[in-house]
Amino acid sequence: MADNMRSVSIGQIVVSNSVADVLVAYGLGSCVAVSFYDPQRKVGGMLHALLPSAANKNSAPDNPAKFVDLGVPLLLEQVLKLGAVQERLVVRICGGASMLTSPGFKNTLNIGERNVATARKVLSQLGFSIKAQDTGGNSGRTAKLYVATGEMTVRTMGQKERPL
Amino acid sequence: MDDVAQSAMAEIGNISVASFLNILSDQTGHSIVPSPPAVIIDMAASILSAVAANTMEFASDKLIILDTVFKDADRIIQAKFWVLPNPDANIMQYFKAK
Repeated sequence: MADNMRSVSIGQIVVSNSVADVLVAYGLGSCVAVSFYDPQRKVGGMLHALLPSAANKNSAPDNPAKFVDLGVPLLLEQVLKLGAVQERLVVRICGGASMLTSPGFKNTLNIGERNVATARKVLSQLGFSIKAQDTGGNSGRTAKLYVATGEMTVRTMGQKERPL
Repeated sequence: MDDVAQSAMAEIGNISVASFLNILSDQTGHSIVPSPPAVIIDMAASILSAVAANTMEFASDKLIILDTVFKDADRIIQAKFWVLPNPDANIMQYFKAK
């Protein structure tokens, strides 16, 4: 069966119970991807968030899925709606690199690090433990979740896909 | 890409940006100061999203991206020259006015 690549772009949540689907977050830099998977129901979901928290915004965010703190509960809600059972969810996170480390970038905000820290905090508040993670570092990543099997892979530039 | 090539990239970027900003500055009457050059080699989406995130956290969700092509008499260089001004920068007032 041909894999049906479903891109999870920035500020997006994609959930699926179709076994042909592969959820892909391309080019995660400082962004973080959070994935949920229920192995019994074969329901998977992925969030691709840009920023840790909407709290720094003056106004209500137009798109909550752009933020880790608002996006994770939304992702949970959507996989549960598709029939996933919370207790069975396999949770993985990926991304949160520090891309802008050269001296030319002043006043950068460690967004990658804070995205990951926020994801861990929110997930723990929701009672989840993280099964696998590939975070930090200085390189971008592409993350895939195979809905048929629940396998997740990560690829960095010039490298092969490796299991997460 | 080795150190010399990266250094050359940084310098090309520095020269292009400086001349571009000079013109922009002349036309708008705003002073614009570039930061020192930096080179990142990675997936395009990773780099752009990291730059965007850094710009957007405390500011607008909108970014201005100016797209450019490099060419001279006998060749066109396959490259993109994107300008993503910091939303706090003076120059943004000019763009807002347009």
